[in-house]
Amino acid sequence: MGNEWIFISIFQILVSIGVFAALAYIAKYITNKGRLVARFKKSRLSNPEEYFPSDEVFLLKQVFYLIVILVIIMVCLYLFFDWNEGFYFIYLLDIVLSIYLALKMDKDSLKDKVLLFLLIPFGSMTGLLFGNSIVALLDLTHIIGYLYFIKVYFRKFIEYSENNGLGVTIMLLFVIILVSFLFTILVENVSPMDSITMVSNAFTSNSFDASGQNIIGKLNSLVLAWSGFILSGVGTATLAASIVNRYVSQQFAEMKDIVKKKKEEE
Amino acid sequence: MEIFASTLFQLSVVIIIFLVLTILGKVIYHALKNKYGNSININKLLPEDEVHTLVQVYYLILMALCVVNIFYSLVGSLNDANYLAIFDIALSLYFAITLDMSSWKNRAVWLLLIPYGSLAYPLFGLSLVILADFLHAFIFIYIAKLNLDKFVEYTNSNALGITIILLFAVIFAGFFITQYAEGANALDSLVIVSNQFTGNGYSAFGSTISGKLNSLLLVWGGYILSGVGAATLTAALLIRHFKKEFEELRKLIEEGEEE
Repeated sequence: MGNEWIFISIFQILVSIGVFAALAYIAKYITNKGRLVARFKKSRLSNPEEYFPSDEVFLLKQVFYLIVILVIIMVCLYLFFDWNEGFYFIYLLDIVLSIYLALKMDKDSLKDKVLLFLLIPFGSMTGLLFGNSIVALLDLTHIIGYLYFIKVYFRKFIEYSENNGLGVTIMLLFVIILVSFLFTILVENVSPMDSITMVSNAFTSNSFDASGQNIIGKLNSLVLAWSGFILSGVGTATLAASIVNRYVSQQFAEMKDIVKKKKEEE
Repeated sequence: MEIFASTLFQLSVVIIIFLVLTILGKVIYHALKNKYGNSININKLLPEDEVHTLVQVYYLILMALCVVNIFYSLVGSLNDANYLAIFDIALSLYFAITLDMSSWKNRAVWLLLIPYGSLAYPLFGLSLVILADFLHAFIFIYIAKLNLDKFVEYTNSNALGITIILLFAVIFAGFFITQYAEGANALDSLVIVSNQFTGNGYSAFGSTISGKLNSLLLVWGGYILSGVGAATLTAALLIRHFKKEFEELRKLIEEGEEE
């Protein structure tokens, strides 16, 4: 009877691995073979350059790597410290993030396989499936796996920036957000989700509030604040560019006419 | 038989009221159009590209209003019945006024556009006429599709981008998510979403309906005009620089002619 917990833990670990593998397989199947996804990938709506100028697309791709890093840090904080807030959301976020990273990584070498094992979110899986469990202690190794991926994604960010000859001004924005994010958690004594909402709101001129009554409301306010921030910049820049473009094109056309006339006279 | 007769009576009253409203609306619409239509030139007020974007937004807003109306016709609560009825009547009336009544098809559309439930409820309370609202709700699917087609046609014929769809999708999704997450009603949700998007805070400002509508107008007016102002200033600075350069270039070419 005394060793029963060992068998229960082993059972829970095996179930977690099985469910994680099944979820990863389903996600891979949907993204690779799903008809709707395939049709969407081909359509005009899925092409980011239809929505943004190409420079903005490059910038957003840079931002994407940094966002992944920020989300990893946030999940690690939630896994390590105890904030009584939206457990199920954090479990889901942890699982989705782990599946995403697992799908994107190479799985050839032994090191990759070890990393893949470290990516399995045992704590969140058992939390969702069985409630509180001693298996959640394995989250410590999961955090180590995550820390490695912070390094991987930072390297990807640098590589992408260098390959496309992009500046790293965006790092300044990211550093301000990251430092303020950690600082706000300490100073205002709030959870990471509240902190990122407060920081985003302040950065986008929306007041220094943790807006939203629950996790969904906070995510909603985050998306709205940043979409407004990005789209306002894009709208202004494209409008300015098109006004200048029209003027310059007209002037060039006049110049061409003058040169043509001159040639004809000669 | 009595129910049948009273329903028929209520139906006729509703149709007559809406017919009178439509005729009045058309008369006022044409009078205003004739008086101010030619004197207001939107292209003088805003840059051409911004006007294109606003026309795109206009079609998308009409489409979204149709979807919202269908949604509330089917799942709206009785607590907000009066506001939803006013919204439904106003929207139906707008489409009825702008409808070209020359074809039989559009006349049939007008018949379905009559907000049977919304007009009958304040006049007669709950009655059988409200059942006709299902047909009325479904005509908005057709109107929404019509506006989507117009949007696509306008976008393609003017070779415009579709960034505006992204903005619209964020606002539209945010509108429904906020109602669920914050337990807000439709107007509050729209005000919260608009405020957050335009950098004014995640709150429903304004203590009355007209105050909220006013805040909506102000935040979006500010958002659009701040963008237009910043863009035209940037463009003006660059154009001044280019003007100088082009003048020099022109002089060089003309001097070449003299030589």
